[in-house]
Amino acid sequence: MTASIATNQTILVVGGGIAGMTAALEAAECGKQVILAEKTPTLGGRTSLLYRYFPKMCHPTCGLEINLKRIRGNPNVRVMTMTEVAAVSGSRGDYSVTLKIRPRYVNENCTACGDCGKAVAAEVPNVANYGLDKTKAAYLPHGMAYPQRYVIDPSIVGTPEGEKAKAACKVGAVDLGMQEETVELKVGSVVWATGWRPYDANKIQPYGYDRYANVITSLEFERLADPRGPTGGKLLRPGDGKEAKNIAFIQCAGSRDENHLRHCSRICCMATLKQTQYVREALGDEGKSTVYYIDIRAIDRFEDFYQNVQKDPTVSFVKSKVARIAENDQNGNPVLHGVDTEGYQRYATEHDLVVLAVGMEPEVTGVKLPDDILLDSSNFIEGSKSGGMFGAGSAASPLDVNRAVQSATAASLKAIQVIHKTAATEAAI
Amino acid sequence: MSKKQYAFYPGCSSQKKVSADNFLRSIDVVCDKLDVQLNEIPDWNCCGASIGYGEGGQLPRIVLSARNLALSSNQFAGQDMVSVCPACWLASRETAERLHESSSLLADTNEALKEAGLSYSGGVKARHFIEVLIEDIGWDKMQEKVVKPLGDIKFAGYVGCQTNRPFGIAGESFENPQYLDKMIEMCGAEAVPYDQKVTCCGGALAFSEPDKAQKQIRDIVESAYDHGAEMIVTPCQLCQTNVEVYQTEINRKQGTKFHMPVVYYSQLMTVAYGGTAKQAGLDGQVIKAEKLEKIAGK
Amino acid sequence: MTTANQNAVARYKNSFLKEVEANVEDGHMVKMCMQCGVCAGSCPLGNAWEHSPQKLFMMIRAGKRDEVLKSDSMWMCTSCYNCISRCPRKLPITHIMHGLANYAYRLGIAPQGQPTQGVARMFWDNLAKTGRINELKFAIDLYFKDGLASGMQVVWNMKEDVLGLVKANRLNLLELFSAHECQDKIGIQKMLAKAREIEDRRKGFTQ
Ligand SMILES: Cc1cc2nc3c(=O)[nH]c(=O)nc-3n(C[C@H](O)[C@H](O)[C@H](O)COP(=O)(O)OP(=O)(O)OC[C@H]3O[C@@H](n4cnc5c(N)ncnc54)[C@H](O)[C@@H]3O)c2cc1C
Ligand code: SF4
Ligand code: SF4
Ligand code: SF4
Ligand code: SF4
Ligand code: SF4
Ligand code: SF4
Repeated sequence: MTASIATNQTILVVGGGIAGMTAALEAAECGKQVILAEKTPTLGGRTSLLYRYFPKMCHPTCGLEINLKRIRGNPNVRVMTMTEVAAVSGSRGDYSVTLKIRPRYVNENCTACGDCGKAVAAEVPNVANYGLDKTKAAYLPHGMAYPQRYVIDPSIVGTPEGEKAKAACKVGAVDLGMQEETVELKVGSVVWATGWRPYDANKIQPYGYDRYANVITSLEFERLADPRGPTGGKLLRPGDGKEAKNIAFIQCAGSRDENHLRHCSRICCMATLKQTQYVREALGDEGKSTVYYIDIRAIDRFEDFYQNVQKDPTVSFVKSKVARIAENDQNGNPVLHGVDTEGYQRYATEHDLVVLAVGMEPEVTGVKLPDDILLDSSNFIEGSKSGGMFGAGSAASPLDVNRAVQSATAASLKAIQVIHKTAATEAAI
Repeated sequence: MSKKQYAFYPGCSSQKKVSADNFLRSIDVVCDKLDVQLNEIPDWNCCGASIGYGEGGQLPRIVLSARNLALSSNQFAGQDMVSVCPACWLASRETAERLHESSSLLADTNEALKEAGLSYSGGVKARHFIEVLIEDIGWDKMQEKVVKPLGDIKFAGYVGCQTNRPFGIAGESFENPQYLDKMIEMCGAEAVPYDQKVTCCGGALAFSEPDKAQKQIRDIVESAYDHGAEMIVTPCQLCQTNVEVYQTEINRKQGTKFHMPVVYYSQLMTVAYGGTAKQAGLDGQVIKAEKLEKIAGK
Repeated sequence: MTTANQNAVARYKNSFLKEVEANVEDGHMVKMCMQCGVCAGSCPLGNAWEHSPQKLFMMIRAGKRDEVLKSDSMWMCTSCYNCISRCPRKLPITHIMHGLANYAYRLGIAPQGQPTQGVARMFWDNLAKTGRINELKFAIDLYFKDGLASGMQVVWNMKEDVLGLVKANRLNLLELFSAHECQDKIGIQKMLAKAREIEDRRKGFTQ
């Protein structure tokens, strides 16, 4: 399988998060041929790992479901999961792409019946819960996974556990002999919708994420709040499983910081404001959220959301970047040290749990990209020198879902223009 | 085997019969065991330390360090200039970096150096002795020389500030550095976890603001006790002196019963390498490190 | 005759920030501060600072010249470098604190009798004489700084510590007579005088 599946009239979309799906669909619905390549076993990206999303506090399920339905119904989009781009050469209108496909060890016959998962005993960290719990080594990535097909973790292939999975499958979907494949393609334009990843909280040493069990990241907190998460939606802190009632949120954890990410990650103020409402939802008036911030960046239409949260008596705001965290040995509570810059009061305040509002860095940081790609000083994708490749969504800038979708639509339109031009030139020849 | 050569800047406190006399003796043993040769820079001068800022001002302080850098490059061209005192290291390295970055500062500095018949054109690397141990000698070789593991002693590794900030040892965290604990463990002893590893002892303000500094020192010693330590180990002369010497005063003023020996990492290594109590400079402790002496005497 | 302070006031009129940028070590970085408060929360002797570093930076921009330069806050800096290692804008806060203190001192408007200032001066005078610190002389100057009677009191209170150091061979009473010193102390003195002269010229202490 090579050139037959693509020509230089094809658009390659790299990354199957909300931005990648949008870019792929917009082009496909204009009649273009699209390949949507996703690194993980499922589409959906990071949005599917949120509990609810601002500003309307809806569950990510609904937005995703609509897009998945459009994808299922559109023959112009070809979805390739577990697929990464290994190399891109050429220029606008004429790219050669090498894709690498990792083996899933489960083929199209899978009905997601779950028998293989029941059969194996081995467990692996559950990526869908940011490693807060474990999942079986034969697993469905998460409830909304697309395709709805199991994955067998490479760690059990070639072991008796792998054989157990194979034996359990009644439809012969388990294929332990699958190998990594390499595919070469010609495409006319590439949209990079590779998204973001949380900044490594271990590097923010004064906050002791690596030392204190009850200091967690905002991503982990999304999973704690989610009824489908590792604690069934209870805000149980990792240190001792006790319910956390007095919760601190530390803003700009790793963002706006010359020692870490230089940029403002733009979504984390809103994410924290949203998460204070998870605390209210879980604990009512008994919960207490304290937001430590430099300044709250809830821009334009989010101002309302901010004002409503400010009215909530369970939420208080301290204008201060926390200097450091220590731990109370007796009860495992993190103790926050700093100075309130409104009044210059020093504090040493204990909380049950600290949530670090970690910054977003481009997922491609550290990844070798084609020479043609243009990056900004924070490694977000600006475009390409020859004008045939585009960044979309949070790969291009730290964006929320709504703005990621807008950015993806814009990128898709530009890709379509490239294809039109290529087609026109070829027709002229 | 030929020895690794370094220009050596001992600093005021690490000479004979001054506050860290004993430290230097143990450094000698460590160098000897690990085939390191420290070549003392002739006629080196004081770095001015941090506290020098009050009277000294910026350029005079830079010039002080620049004189040492100049002497080092004249006498021991090509060798790194090594300090055992964190304040000396900090001052020298800060100066070396600033002179490297600013040609106008270098010009001003040379104008002053001329008065002492010297000039400096850059190029000397100012390093801490611990960097030499970790980066040039390596953990394996340091470990190999251990003949007397220190067994059951529990140490609180006290890194303090200036060995650790703003430069620190490459790859280590400013908030929770590991190398000192690793050195303790390398010597066969136990490093207790405690929360005052990088707390400031008050530094030179121990002299001018004794009550405030002693509060810092009290926190450090108390936490070491609370976490089961029997001794404190440190890489810093001023930390050592402050944390050891003021225990009596804190006891007197605050009714505590502190009596915790405070030793240098190199003293630990000397004993673990089979040196005598005298070689390790243990006779220099104001609060005797009896357990270490006992092991050294075996 | 006008003083250095009057000259500086006249020269920089309404812009204390400009004055700091020109005359204080690393003063050009003050404007980079985003008032996050991390440095303020990092000083070991934080309670003793009337104005935290962060607040001082704000006051500089607000032109509060006297309140800043006459404050004893900067003199509370222990040079622990916590602030520098944590500041999200990479301000060399420690250097700026040292610089502010020194500038105020050189202008002659730093608080009189501030203890750290006294120690800093003694330390410098001690080393500038011979090129090296004479720890015994330093200790004696230190403890007798307020006169003989109070000095005796301090020494009496600390007699165990002092004796301990002597017994441990770490404080040498002979240092009074034959001390550690540099051979080229004359050269060092001249060099320091020159450095001071250049700096004074640059900072407008001399015309
Ligand atoms: C704590 C937190 C809470 C948030 N809450 C909200 C909220 O409530 N509302 C809101 O609007 N936004 C929220 N956001 C922001 C939201 O997560 C992003 O806007 C959204 O994920 C952006 O989607 P995306 O498609 O651009 O990127 P992603 O979701 O990151 O998707 C990128 C996809 O690309 C894939 N990929 C990456 N590299 C490659 C490669 N080399 N090859 C192939 N595939 C690749 C990834 O596997 C992934 O599937 C929150 C963010 C955080 C940190
Ligand atoms: S691989 Fe087989 S057993 Fe496993 S879920 Fe799919 S169909 Fe069921
Ligand atoms: S959005 Fe808020 S928390 Fe996030 S980096 Fe910007 S200011 Fe900081
Ligand atoms: S730091 Fe202290 S010991 Fe080292 S040279 Fe400077 S003043 Fe002397
Ligand atoms: S702990 Fe004390 S002596 Fe050691 S470096 Fe810090 S201030 Fe200096
Ligand atoms: S830490 Fe840096 S940015 Fe923050 S207030 Fe202090 S100087 Fe300003
Ligand atoms: S170096 Fe000075 S200003 Fe900085 S944190 Fe320490 S005491 Fe505060």
